[in-house]
Amino acid sequence: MLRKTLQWWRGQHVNSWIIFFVLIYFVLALKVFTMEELDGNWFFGMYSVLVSLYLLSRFVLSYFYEPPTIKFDEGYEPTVSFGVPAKNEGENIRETILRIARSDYPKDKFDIIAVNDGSDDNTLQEMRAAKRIAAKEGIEVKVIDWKKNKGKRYGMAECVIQSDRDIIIFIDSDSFVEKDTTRQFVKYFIDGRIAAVAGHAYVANAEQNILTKMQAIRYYISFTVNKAAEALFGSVTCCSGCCSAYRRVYITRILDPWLHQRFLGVECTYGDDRSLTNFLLYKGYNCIFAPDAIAHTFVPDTLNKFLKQQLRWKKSWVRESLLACTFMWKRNPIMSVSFYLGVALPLLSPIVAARALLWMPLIRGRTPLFYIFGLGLMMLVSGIYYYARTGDRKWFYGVFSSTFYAILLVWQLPYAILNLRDSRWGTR
Amino acid sequence: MFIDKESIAKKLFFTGTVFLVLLVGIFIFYSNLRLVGNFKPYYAKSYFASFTYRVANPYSNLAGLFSFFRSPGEVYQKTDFKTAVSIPVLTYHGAVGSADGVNVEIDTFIDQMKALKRSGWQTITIDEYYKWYKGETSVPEKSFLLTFDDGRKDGYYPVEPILNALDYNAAVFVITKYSFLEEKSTYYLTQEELLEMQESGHWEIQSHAYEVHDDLAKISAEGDLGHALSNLLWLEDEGRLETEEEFRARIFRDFSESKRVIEEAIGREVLSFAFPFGDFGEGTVNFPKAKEIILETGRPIYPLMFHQQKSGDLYTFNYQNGPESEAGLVRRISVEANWSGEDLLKILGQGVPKNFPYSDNFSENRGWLSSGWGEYNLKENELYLGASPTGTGNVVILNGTGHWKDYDLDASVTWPRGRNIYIWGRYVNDRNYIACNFAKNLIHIEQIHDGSLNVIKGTEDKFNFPASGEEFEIGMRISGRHAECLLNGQVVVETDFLNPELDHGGIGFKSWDPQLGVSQFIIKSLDVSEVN
Repeated sequence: MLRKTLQWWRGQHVNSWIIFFVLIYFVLALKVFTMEELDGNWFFGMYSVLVSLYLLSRFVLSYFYEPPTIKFDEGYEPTVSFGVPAKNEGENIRETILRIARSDYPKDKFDIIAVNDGSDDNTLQEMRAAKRIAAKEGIEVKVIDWKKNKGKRYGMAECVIQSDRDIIIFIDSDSFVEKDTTRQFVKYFIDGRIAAVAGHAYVANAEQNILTKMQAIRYYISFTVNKAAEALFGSVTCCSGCCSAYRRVYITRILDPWLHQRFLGVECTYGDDRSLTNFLLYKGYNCIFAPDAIAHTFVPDTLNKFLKQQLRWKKSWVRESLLACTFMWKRNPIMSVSFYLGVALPLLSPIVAARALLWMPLIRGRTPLFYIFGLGLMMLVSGIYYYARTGDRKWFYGVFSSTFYAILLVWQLPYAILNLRDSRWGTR
Repeated sequence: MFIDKESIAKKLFFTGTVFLVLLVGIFIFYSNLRLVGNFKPYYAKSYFASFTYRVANPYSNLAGLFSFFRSPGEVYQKTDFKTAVSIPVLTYHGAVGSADGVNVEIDTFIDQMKALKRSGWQTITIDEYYKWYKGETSVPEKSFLLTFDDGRKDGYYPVEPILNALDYNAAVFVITKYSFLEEKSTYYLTQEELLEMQESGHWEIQSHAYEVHDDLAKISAEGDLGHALSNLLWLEDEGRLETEEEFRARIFRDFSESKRVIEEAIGREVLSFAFPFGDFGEGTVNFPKAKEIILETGRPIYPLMFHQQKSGDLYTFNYQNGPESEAGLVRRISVEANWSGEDLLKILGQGVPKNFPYSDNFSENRGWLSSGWGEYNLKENELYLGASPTGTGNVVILNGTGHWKDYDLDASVTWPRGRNIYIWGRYVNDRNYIACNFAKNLIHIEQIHDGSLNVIKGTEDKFNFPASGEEFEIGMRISGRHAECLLNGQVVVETDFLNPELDHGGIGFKSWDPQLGVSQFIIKSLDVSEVN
C-alpha cells in the first residue's frame, strides 16, 4: 500500500519546489492562526512570527547569493599555503595531505604546512610519509612537530607564521579537498576587501549511520542556506575550520589578539575558526562563501562525540556572537538586523520551549500542538529544500535532524552558557 | 553586495511573485480564519461552487467587488425597474453534507441559490423589507428575503461562500439563550461568529426567541408536552397551570430579553422575530387566547414577525397592505429538502404576481393552492375540487393575485354535485374576501370582513343550471365598491356597497355541501380581465 502510494507519487513528478512553497504557505498560515490564538501575549507572538520570518528569510537571502562570476580573472594565481594542524589523526592525515598535493594548481605556487600538535599516535610518521610521496611530485610539505600539545589555535597560528604565501587555506586533518578546490577558493581573493572565504563542506561519512546522515543534511542546509545568506552581505560569521581560505596578510594583523584571546578571564581554546572570522569581520573585511570550493569532512559517528562537538560549537557560538554584537551594527542594515535576530532568537528559544512544553501542558493543561506542529513544519521545509536541491532520498533524515538539533539547542544552549568558562578541549 | 547583477531582475521578479502569491494566499487564509476548527469537508463544495460561479460570471464578481460603493438604501436607484407588489420569504435551517430528509443538502442548496440568481431573484434585507412593507420605499420585482432559523453553524459556514459569490444577503434568527449565553457551542453560532457575520455585511442577526424555542415544555399535570410559546406551562412546584398574567409576563420577558441581548451584543436594532416552529398560537393545545396575546405582546417589540406557511395560508408571498389583524405577520416558504433549483423556481413562479388579462386552461398548475380541507386535482385541462369523504367541500385560491383590485372574472365550469359553488374575489385571507355564492335556488353576494360573514345582496329564483357534466359560465365583476355576480353572461345580482376595506385581493373557487363527501366542482377555463 505504502509502496504503491510512493510509486504513484514519484510517477507524478510533482515539482518538489512546489511542495516547498506550499509548506512555506502552511508555515505562514499557522503563524497567522497562532497570532489569533495568542491571548495577547505579544512576547511569544513576536517570537513565533520572527522565528519563522528569520528562518524563511534565510532561504530568500541565500537565493539571491550568487558568487560573482564576471570579474574573475583566469590568470589570477596567487601563492597558496595549506595549513593542516593535527592531533592524533594518524588514520586520515596522510590522505588529507595527499589529496591537497593532487590539487589542480601550479606546483610552485602552493605548499603544505602540517603541524603535529603533540599526537600520541602515528600522526607524525604519516605526515612524513605523505611528505615523501608529495616530494616526488614536486610539492613542498613542511612538517612541524610539537612534542607537547599546544592547542589547535597555536597550530593554526604556526601555519600563518611559517607561510610566506598570499593565501592560507586551513584544512582539518580529517577533511579531503577536491582537485579544483584551490582554484575555487583563490579566485575570490582578487577582490581586496575579502579576507576569508568559507568552503563548502560535505559529510564524507554520510552513509555510515543515522547520526551522520542527519549531519549531512544539516551541513548542507547550514552551508547553502545560512552561510550563503550571510555571504550576500560579505559577513559570513563562521568560516569553518574544516575548509576555509584566508588572506594571510590580514590574519597577521590580528594574529596576536586572536592567539591570546581571553573571554571571562579564561583563555579561549575552542571555536578558533569562528573567532578568527570574527576578528576579520571586526576589522571590516569581508568574509564570503564559495559554494564550489568543496571539501569532504568526517563528522562524529557516535552520539557521545557528537554531543561534545555540539556543546563546543554552542559555547563558541555564544561567545563569538556576543562579541560580534558589539560591531555588527556597522555592517549592512539587513545583515545586522538578521544577525541580532539570529542571536536573540536562539537565546530565547529555551524560554519559549519551556513555556510551550512545560508551562502550558502542566499548569494550563494545554497540549503544545501548535508549537510542535510549527516546529515540524519548519523542519519539513528544510527537508524538502534539501530534496529539491539535491534530489537525495535521505531528505527525510533532514526532518529528524532539524528536530534533533532543535531539541538539542533547547537544553544544550543554557548548559553551554553555564559552561562558557570551562575551557577543556572536548574530543580534540 | 555580492549579487550577480545579470540575474537580479529575474530573481527579484521570481521572489516578488512568490511573495505576492503567498501574501494573497495568506490573506485568503486570514479572511477564512473562522473556518479553522469549524471546517467540515462538505463545506469545500460551497467554496468550489462559489469559485466556479465567480469564474463563470466575472461581471457579477465586479459588482460584488464594488458593492462597498453603495450605501444602504441606495441599492435600487435604477429607474427602469418594475417594483415588487409582493415578496416571498424563504426559510432554511442549515445546509447539511448528506441528506437527512429535513435540511437541504449542500448541493441542493447551491442549486437552489444559483437557480434563483439565474432567474433574476435578488435578496433584500429585513430593513429594506420593513421599509417596503410600510410603503416607505419600493424594491424591484423578484426581490426575496432569505432567512435561516436557529442560528446553526451549518446555516452559516457552508452558506457564506454562496452568498458572497451571488451577492446575496440573509437573515439569521438566533435562539439567544444558546448563541449568547451558553458556553461555546459546537452546534449553534457563538457571539463571536455572529459579530463576524454582522460585520461581513450580508447577514442580519434577528431573534428566534430567548428560551421559548422549546417543543418539550410540560403543559399539563399528565406530562403532555407542547410548544412553550403557545401554551400555558405546567408549574410543577405549585401543581397548577400558569395564569394568563404569568403567561403574558413570560412571553413578554422572552420577546424583550432576546431583543435586548442581541442588540447589546451586535449593536444593531433587531426588527423581527421568527416564531419557534412557526407557531404563534395557532398550534396551542391548552390556551385558545394564546394567539391574541402573543400578537398583542409581540407587536410593540417586533414590527415584523415571521411564521411558516401553513396549509390554510393561501398565498406564498407577502403583500404590503394586509388586514389589520395580520399587521406585522410575515409568511415564509419552508424550503423542502427535496426541492431542486427548478422546483423552487416553479414554486416561487406560482406566487409571482399575475397580470391582467389572466387566462387559464389548466394545462399546468400556474399557482392554484388548495385549502387542504377537501380534494383537489389539476389535470387534463380542468381544475377539480370536491369534498373529501368526511368533508363538506374545498377552496382553491390563485397564488399571486393578492394585489388585484378591479377585475372581470369569467369561468367555464361544470357542477356535478353539491349544494353551493362559489367564486371568491378580493381574497386577502380566510377572514377577508368577497364571494359570489351560487346555489340551485339563490345567488348571493357575500362579504367576509374580519371573519364575519355578511350577505350584501341576494336573488332567489329557480336558476337554470344545466345538467351535471354540462359546461356553463359563471362570473364575477368587481370594481371599487361595486360587485356583480354573473350566470351565463347575465348579471344576476349586483351591489354598490362593498366594505371599503375590502378594496383588493385575489380570486378563488369553493365547493360546498353540508352533506359530507358530496360536493364537486370543476373549472374548465378561466379568463380574468381588468375593469377600468
